Amino acid sequence: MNLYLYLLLSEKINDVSDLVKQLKSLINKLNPLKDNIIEILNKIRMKIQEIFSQIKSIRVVNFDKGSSGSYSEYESADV
Amino acid sequence: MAEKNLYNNLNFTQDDKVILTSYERRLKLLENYKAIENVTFVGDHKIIIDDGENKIGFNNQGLIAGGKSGDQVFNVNTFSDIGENDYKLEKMILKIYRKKNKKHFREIYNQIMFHSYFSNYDFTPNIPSIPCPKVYLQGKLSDNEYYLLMENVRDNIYSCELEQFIIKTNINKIYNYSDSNDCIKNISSIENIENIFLQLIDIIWFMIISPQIVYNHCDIHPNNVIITFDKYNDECQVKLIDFGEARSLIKKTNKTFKACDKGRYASMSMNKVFSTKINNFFKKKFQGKKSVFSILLRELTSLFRKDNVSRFKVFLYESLFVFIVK
Repeated sequence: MNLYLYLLLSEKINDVSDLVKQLKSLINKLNPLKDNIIEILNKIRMKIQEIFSQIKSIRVVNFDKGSSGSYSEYESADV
Repeated sequence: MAEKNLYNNLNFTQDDKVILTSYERRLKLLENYKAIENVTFVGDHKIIIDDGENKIGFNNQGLIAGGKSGDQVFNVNTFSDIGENDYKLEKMILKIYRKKNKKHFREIYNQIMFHSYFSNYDFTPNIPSIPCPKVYLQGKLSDNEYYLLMENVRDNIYSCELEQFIIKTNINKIYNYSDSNDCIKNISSIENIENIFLQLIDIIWFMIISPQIVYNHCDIHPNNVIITFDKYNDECQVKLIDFGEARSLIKKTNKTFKACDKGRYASMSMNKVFSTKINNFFKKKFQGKKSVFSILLRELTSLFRKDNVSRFKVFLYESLFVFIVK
């Protein structure tokens, strides 16, 4: 999953690299036999939401920049 | 009632033979069990399953897989009776297991248990439908053969594996298809992609924390995650397939075991991605490079070789000399 998030975000990986690293370490900690599994799953979910909210904000910024330019700039910023 | 009994009997023993017989016994207890006497292939296009009393006909769409293990997976179509002369085309997968194997029983059993658990669950917006293929029929073909008839989750052109999905969305982005229809644009929207990852996490969550059935899929990788697109609601749904390696984690018994087999694709690829600790550290930092550690290591090994005994002596004499002078 993490690998494919990498692929997916390859263009914006520099902007969210810290968050992806944190997500990676959280997934490393995931062990269903331990008791803190719920806590870690919660954190992973929050982290994914955080990453995507950041990507969305990047997209909005690009859109604002692109609104003065051509339509194709907006399209390239879209995932 | 049958489901409740099954949940109570989930404690597995370690002996393989006992597991085989217990699995067989449990499969017979399930509602959708049907022992079949004969499977007939008519031409290239029809499969007839005969149970002695009734005949079930399938239009064979082709063999999907048939590898070393000998298991055959067919893509089949059939018409189901909805009522009052109304019929619906159902796309199904027929899997025939050629050997009596612990893994086969586990796959059939886990899939049925997983399906039955989620069919009783009140779905949230995050998990809009049952996140696994439905099981229509399962049972015995002959002494060593078992079959599983289940839903074909890849039943429309927009359904694909997660890996293909990512490639498709990237291609769509790179080539900037402005002419593509709304459906493709909706599939590749960032909201849908976020929804897919959150759905996946939620499914894992419910599999692990449910008090009734504590499951670990053990083989979640992008080829075993199917993304289906509901064009009426503009929603993507995640479905997990291949329950051959799934394990039930029963905490009450206090038994601990390896959660995943090391040889599986998922664990191997995860190792590649996540092996950032010792192995990668040494490979990246010290392989082919001179460093303090590598020089020290070489010196220490050389001390114990016959050729360098004299060097060791010199070293000893020097230190002795220093000691004497002091």
